[in-house]
Amino acid sequence: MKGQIARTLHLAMLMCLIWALLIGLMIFIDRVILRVNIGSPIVRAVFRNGTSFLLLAILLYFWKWVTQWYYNRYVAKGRR
Amino acid sequence: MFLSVLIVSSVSFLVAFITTRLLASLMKSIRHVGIDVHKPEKPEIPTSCGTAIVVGVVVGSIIALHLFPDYKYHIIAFMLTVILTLLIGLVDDFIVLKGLVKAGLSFLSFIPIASLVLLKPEVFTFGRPEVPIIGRLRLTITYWLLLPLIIAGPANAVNMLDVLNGVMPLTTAIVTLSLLISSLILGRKIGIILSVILLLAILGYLPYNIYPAKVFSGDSGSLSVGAAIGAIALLAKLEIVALVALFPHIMNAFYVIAFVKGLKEHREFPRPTRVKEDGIIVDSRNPKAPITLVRLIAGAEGAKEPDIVKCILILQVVAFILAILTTLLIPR
Repeated sequence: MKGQIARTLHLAMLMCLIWALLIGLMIFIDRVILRVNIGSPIVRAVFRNGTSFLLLAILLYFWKWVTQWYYNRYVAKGRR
Repeated sequence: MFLSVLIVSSVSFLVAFITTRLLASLMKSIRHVGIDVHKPEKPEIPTSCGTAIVVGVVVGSIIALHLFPDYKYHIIAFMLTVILTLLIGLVDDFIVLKGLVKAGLSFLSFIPIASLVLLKPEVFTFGRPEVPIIGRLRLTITYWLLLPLIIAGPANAVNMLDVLNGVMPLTTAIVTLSLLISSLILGRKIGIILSVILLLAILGYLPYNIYPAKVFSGDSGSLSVGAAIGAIALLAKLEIVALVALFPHIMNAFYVIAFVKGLKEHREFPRPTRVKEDGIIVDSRNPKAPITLVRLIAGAEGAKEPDIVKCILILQVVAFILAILTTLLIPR
């Protein structure tokens, strides 16, 4: 049971990290990306939405990468 | 208000509690059962009994319609969303649907709330979700594009984590509690009414599903509870709070989707865990199986089902704290 509790706490820490990154990302999008002014409204919309979704996708990819690394390092080998 | 909320909550609790017992007998008599794969003796358990939660929610909502007439359109939209998702879930319970079809159908459950916005814009409008520190986010057209996800996302995420006895009602009760507390903090009356109805209906169902389960929720139960959470988030404008409160569910769903590369029904990929003869759940070590929350927690040494449920509950409590923190960080 000790191993399961330790892994749960690791996952909880990962959850807190993703929460902090998500809030940081939303602040960055609001304060920086949504304030970039481009003349054409279509180009502006594509830039704002495209960049925001790209950053979100990078965050999700990071989350997946960390999980994969954690599984291979601590779960699959039966180590804590 | 307090007395009215007490009446509504008592009714939804009692209706869900009684209906679960009746549905269990009915499902047993028509042999609509599922196998509890995490028990060594593989017992047959009546399934689709999560429908009782929806019955509790609907009866509670009908009473709330009379007690809170100012919010009648919100309550009707909430009820229709839950009923629509229940029907999709029941179809899946009786005729097994492919993962993509089920997810696609659940996207339709945003129609009642979208109709409310289009038909009664003076009653309810959405968009510009509230975010910690910065306040309202400038989302208008993009919000409409994301709208189907706000209902279908929680519905499918809750459904994907409903794999162990008691996990679905225990975790969703904590999620609903966080929505209730957030509504109290932010003064969202509709959030308080709907969260109380859902929370008490889940608690009425909980004693039957907790380890060792006497009933299974089925896709009908888990999809509709998830959709109800999404609908409360939309109607009470608590989208980000709900997203944070649902972190363990989203984590699990994200891992499955990311590792199997698409929306697939659990029958369509190898099992991530296996059960030993003594009832210990262990990592299947199958490289083709997705990494799930249960697989990550169980690990190679394995654990008993109730112990894994306790670990998931720890994660849910952390998500609850983060959700309340998120609410407190929203500028008022």
